[in-house]
Amino acid sequence: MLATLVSLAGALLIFIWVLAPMFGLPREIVQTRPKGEAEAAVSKSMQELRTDLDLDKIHQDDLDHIKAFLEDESSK
Amino acid sequence: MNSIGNYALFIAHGLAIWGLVASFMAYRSRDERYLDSVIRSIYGICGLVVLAVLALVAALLRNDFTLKYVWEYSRRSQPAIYKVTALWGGMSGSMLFWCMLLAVFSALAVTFNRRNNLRLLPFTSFLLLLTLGFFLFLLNFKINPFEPLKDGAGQLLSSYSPQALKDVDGNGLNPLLQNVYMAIHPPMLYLGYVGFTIPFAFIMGALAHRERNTFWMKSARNWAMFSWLTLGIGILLGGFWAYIELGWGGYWAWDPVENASFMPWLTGTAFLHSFLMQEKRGIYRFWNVAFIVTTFLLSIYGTFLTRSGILQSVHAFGQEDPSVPVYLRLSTIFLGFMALMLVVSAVFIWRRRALLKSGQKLESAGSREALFFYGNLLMAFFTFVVVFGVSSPIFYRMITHKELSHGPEFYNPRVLPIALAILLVMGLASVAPWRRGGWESYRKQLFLPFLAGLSALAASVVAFFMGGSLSTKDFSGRPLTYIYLFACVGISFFVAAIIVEEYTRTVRHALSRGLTVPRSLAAPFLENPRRYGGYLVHIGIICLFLGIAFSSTFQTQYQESMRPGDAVRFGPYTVRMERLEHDNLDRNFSSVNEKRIWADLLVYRGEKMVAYLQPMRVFYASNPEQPTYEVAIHSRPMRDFYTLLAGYDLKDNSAIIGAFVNPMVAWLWLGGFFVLVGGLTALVPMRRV
Repeated sequence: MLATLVSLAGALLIFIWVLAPMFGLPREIVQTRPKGEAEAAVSKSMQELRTDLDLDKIHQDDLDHIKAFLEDESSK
Repeated sequence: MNSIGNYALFIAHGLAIWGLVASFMAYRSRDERYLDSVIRSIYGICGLVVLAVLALVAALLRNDFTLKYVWEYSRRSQPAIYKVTALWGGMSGSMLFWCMLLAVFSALAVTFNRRNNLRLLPFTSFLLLLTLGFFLFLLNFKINPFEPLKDGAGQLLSSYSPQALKDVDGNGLNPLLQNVYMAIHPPMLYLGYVGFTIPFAFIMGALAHRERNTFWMKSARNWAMFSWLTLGIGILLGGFWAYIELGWGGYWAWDPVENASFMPWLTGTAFLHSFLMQEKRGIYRFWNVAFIVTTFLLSIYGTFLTRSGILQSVHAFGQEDPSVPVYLRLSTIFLGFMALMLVVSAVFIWRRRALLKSGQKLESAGSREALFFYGNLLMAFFTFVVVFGVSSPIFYRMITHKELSHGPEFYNPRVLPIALAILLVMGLASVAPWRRGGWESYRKQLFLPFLAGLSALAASVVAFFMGGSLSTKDFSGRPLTYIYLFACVGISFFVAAIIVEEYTRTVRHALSRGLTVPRSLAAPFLENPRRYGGYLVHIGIICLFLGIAFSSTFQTQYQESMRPGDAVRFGPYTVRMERLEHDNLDRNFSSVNEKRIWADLLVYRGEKMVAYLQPMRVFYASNPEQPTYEVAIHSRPMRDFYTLLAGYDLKDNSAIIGAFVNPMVAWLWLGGFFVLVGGLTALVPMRRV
């Protein structure tokens, strides 16, 4: 009996907590990113490819081509 | 406590239903209030399912036999560790554990991606909650681990007096599962199975929300890597468990349940490689979605095969009640869920097909991008063979009502050439240049590895024919087996040499930058952990190939009846039996969990004693009629000497000692170690040295 009451009270509290955000004002989901994050992501990807440049597994113009692609993707 | 567990599951199911509605609303309206509520639902489910798991573990530890699950999978004399592992020893407990892992992973995924990938979360959460909701539905209405136990007269045991309950004892955990590796193997597998749900949900989320940037990929890739790694290690631990516990001298039998875990691992491997191409070049988008959807569905399919009762296997523990109507059976419900997820995925893939077109072209058939594609095609073929081998007996039985099973004779001829081709492509893709191919690009980098591979191939052929290990008669008996073996040796050395050469060149380049020797040696792993962690994994795969090739080709088996004082020759070893011993076999199982019979063996190589082994048979309280094998192994890098107590006659004081000489089995476990270290390295964030 006690377990049932505790569970019912717990369930009520959990549902109140879960539903609480619904009582606020509507707001649109907006994605914000810290400045420089896109550049950092491209830089990390390029670090891997620069190893290949050192090992003659990529040509400089191919590296530039891929870099341009990564920058384009990150800016979307 | 039990009713709290029950209520926790019920409330969690309610939260999953609300979360599904709210995530759909968040997806449609883009209103963040709904998303906040969804995230809170996931946190709530996580807390409640963890509470339910704790309640069940507490019941197992307290010998609370008022619960049917505890009575079925535990007993008073069972060691505490196996009372805890009984959590995943039965169907409903393992489903609860599965559900808990998914709830925890979902909570972690939404927490870590709230800042960077908020836009994807509505549909990602929808898929996570759909999966959670499915398992919570099963736990509440189909396979409840908190189901009370009734006695023969239909009276609940919870109504017994405390004194009467003290006389009740359970059946106990399956003896085969009372092994320390079995305590680790299933959780590792589940981590992998469950983990693949997260990248699946993220990729589908990115597709549904038309996400074009690449930020979400890092999270999806890390989850996929973690899942792939844990699933792989889980499979290897399962092989190790089979090796030491089942007493047949092998580690892999193409058992359907083994295959069930292998299938998502194969597609997961393909996904990890082609996803890398999507990150760098924006290509293979459709393939990646197809691979991750397949991996997720195969994970569910593996769970379904093990637990639905549709398969008979040493690992399968689900039993389908024939009196239950077909539409209410667990297998039907699982198939329904898989069909639902397939339809949801297919609808979004179709609706977003324009997004899956690559903006980039494949410039050369010899480029790195192309080789990754060939590797993935081979992985897809491999998976198809395994899926066909596992599934065709099920359909055959449904149609003809006759049994059919596929073993090594079905799989080996089909998968061995594919596996060797994958090994070769694995090496070639490491040296292939980006965007362009051509003979010139390869010639410089492949010369030394080619020499290494050719030398190893020639040396192995000469050593086997001239060194006495293999005669022309043996060869002509099964030529294809030896051709595959020699090819495996040659390709393995070729690929290993490629990796060593590339590592050496990278270290040399670091030295030329003025770094010290230790820093230069570490630089490749710190500056490019994913690449060089991947190479460590590849070294591990080479060890696995060599271990499998040699142990399966050259295994020799012996069996002799022995008495104390007898000495018998088993291949290169001489075994002298000292004693045949046993515990007090008259003791009652109410006070002990196990009783043992063992042989004391001294193992000699020439005149030198090299090992003292104690193979035994163990009678567990939960199934005393079928004693398990506890094998004893003298393990060395090039050879395992594996002994078991195949039979015994205590009155006659004699034993039948079985033995296997298994070459290079240790290379499998060494390979697993490299895979683990390499996988963990690949997960480490990169640094600039």
